[in-house]
Amino acid sequence: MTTASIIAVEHVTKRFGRRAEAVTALTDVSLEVRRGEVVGLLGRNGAGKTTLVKTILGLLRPAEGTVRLFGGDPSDVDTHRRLGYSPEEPNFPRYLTPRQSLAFCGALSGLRGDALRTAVERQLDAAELRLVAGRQARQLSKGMTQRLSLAQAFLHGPELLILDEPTADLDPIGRRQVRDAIEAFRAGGGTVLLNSHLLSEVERVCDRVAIIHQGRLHREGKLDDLLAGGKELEDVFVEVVTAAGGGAGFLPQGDEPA
Amino acid sequence: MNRPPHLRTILTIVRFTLVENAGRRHLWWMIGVAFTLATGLALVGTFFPLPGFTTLQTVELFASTPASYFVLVVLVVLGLGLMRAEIDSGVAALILSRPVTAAEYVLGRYLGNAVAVAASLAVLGGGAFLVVLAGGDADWKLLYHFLVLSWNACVFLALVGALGVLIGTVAAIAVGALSFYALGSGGTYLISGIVDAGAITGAAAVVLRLFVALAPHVLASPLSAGQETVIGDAVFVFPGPTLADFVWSATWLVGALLFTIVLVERREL
Repeated sequence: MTTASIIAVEHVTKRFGRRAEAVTALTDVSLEVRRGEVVGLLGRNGAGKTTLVKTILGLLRPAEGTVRLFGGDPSDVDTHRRLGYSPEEPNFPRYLTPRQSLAFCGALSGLRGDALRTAVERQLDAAELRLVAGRQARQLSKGMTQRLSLAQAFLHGPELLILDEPTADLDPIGRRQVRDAIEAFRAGGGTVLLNSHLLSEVERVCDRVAIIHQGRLHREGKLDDLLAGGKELEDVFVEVVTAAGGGAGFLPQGDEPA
Repeated sequence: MNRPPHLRTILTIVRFTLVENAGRRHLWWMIGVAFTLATGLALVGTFFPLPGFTTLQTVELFASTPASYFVLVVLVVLGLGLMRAEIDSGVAALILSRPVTAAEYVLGRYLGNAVAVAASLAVLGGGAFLVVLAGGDADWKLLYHFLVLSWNACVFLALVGALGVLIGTVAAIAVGALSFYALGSGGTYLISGIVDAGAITGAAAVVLRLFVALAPHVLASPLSAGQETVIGDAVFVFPGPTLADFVWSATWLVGALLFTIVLVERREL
């Protein structure tokens, strides 16, 4: 791992449960994210992407291997001041409004006074949440909650963004806005770990891609290298997953469609 | 590994927990209903004292009963939102992805809810006290009674939070609310020896004994302190809250919070 590492995952294995019933969600995963990069984490549903993200954040503890975040232990919460995280299924305190939720998140990250107020108002505009800024979180649609989640991730000017399926509940315009925001963030020197199964999205914004399947990292490299020879990312993804034993389809094996 | 809790972070969480509680319309409704009942019944008591009770005793009894039931309901409403539900919904993970330790999160959430409960009971107690005052007698013991009720509610809130993280919200609420009820009413009699748990038959005796053995020592009401009750040939005197009771229940409160912190710290989100 290099000195420019923002995230360094080394031989991480993660199991849920104990003894015989344990489910292995990650097996010997190693991944590095360097400063200024946008790295896409690709995989099917249940591949282990979110487990890896939570392990990087220190919300889950690996059974084996190490994770370094900004060169330190991810369980050291002071390093969290430097990152913004948007979870896969975002939820906010039910009785807080988006404005209050943003102020809460900003205050926890050390923003105070005018700086906090300015940041909150800026994010309400950027996420197009001004019209619902006074509505309680329980009254927001999934799309609005997703926008709020992204707004809180960008709020305090982090160095690293960890975005877990950030556009899953957004419409096409919202997706484009998120792509633009990620590109602007990278242009400003920011680093992004983007967890997604939307290949087109990853193809447009990522410098490097890691493909994970059934808890194992099967391919990792620069996007240009992976797409050498005019391949589409979808072809590469299907090829990797199929080679790893996935992609059998929805039908039970051996059955033929009528 | 982690730094000691920062007071500023705790206060930030307390502040926004209070803001969130202020946004719970059903909580305002409950306070309104309890306040109306407490003061309304207190007024009724001034005109129609119960047989064998003085006017003041009737007013105190009438005012504190709705307040006790309000506490039970609040334990359910705030207890449900106290950490366990947030862990399940992912709100806790969102907060802990910020520079916040488990201790700051638990203490901030607990204190915010405890302040909300205490403030609600202060409103109820204040209303009842004003009725007594209007009747021409300033009975400070009534305010002391509400202070004790607030303290008991805060102890149980900590326990419900800990049990919630440990065994599941619904079960925790049931245990917390039942033990509050059992100790708040029958428990006082059991602890003070007025009623022997052995005299109660069957499962009820087992449950009551368990509550008394496991739950914290609920402070007896100062309103009944010193009152005599005759059961059979024996005369029992109701106990009042003592300093030892406060220390004992504070130990439970601190223990419950430390236990919750350890659980949240060890739990994977």
